[in-house]
Amino acid sequence: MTAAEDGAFQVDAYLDQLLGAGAPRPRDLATDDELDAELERTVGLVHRALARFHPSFAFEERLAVRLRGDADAPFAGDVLDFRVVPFAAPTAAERRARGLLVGGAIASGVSIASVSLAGAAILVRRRARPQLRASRLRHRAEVSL
Amino acid sequence: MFEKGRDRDAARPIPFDADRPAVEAARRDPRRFEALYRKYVAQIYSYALYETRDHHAAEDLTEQVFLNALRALPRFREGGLDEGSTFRVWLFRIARNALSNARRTERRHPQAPLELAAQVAAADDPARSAVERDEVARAWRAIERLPQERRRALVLRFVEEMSAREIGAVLGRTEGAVRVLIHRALRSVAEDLGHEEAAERRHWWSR
Repeated sequence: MTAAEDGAFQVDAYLDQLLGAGAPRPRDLATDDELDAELERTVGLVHRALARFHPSFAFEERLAVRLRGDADAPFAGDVLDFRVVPFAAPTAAERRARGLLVGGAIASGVSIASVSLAGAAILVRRRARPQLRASRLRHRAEVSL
Repeated sequence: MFEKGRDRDAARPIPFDADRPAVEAARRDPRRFEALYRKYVAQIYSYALYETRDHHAAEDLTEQVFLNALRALPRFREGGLDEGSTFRVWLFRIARNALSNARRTERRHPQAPLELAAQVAAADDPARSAVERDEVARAWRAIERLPQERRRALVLRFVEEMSAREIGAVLGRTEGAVRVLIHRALRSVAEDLGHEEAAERRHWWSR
């Protein structure tokens, strides 16, 4: 062990006693860890100069609330990779070929109007020809016999 | 008997991590992390303040450290200081990494002196003598002039009250290297104080 390491060890032992840091030393090991007067005075001054600071109460509480929120929902605040499909306006041909979704989302006011008009036309036709349903039922009965 | 060197190191037991029960509880229920947060918030904030020298930056860094720690807690592996980490050492490693990242992205280092000496002297004891306040202020100036790694080691030793072994685990150095680093830092401060006092005496006599 060099002289520098030896001195460093002595200072470390002195600081352990002063600060109470580190693992407890066996009794027979910690003994005459004395420093020269100049270094001892410096240690005292540095100890007084280097104080621990506490954050403001407002900050501490605000962060505590944020941590509580994160603890309740661990993934809250994480950005998810959401795939965005680029939108392209349908062509006239696509618009004609596209089926209607009824009972779920309705695409537009035009669709609602066209569905309503078609429904009304069928209803009018059925009411105007009540015998049509009876003849259809009779035909089915004959085929099944 | 006074044993020296490696023999004495070997005789020292590996410390038990006092935070183990709290860490286990937080692993089971992340809401229990608050106990660890309350215990270490001032330590991390102080470390960040000494490094960044700015209250707002220190708050930002403290927030980042604890949010990262909460998210990474399931991956934390405790071990002896030689092989792994205690919770406190792990937390300070997160702080050190966060500081490095912040400095990488933000080239502008705060070069202003850490003007906290007056606050320390005033807050500590209002009745403290002017001479003593001057001494503390001089010690501050000497600490300010230290190379960064020496100053960091002093802060971890005196402010955070870490052992040389813990500091080594945080800074990625051996325990012996940390002891030498601290010893040299204190010698530098002592010399600096001596020079300053001698200059003041010369100034006094020349008047």
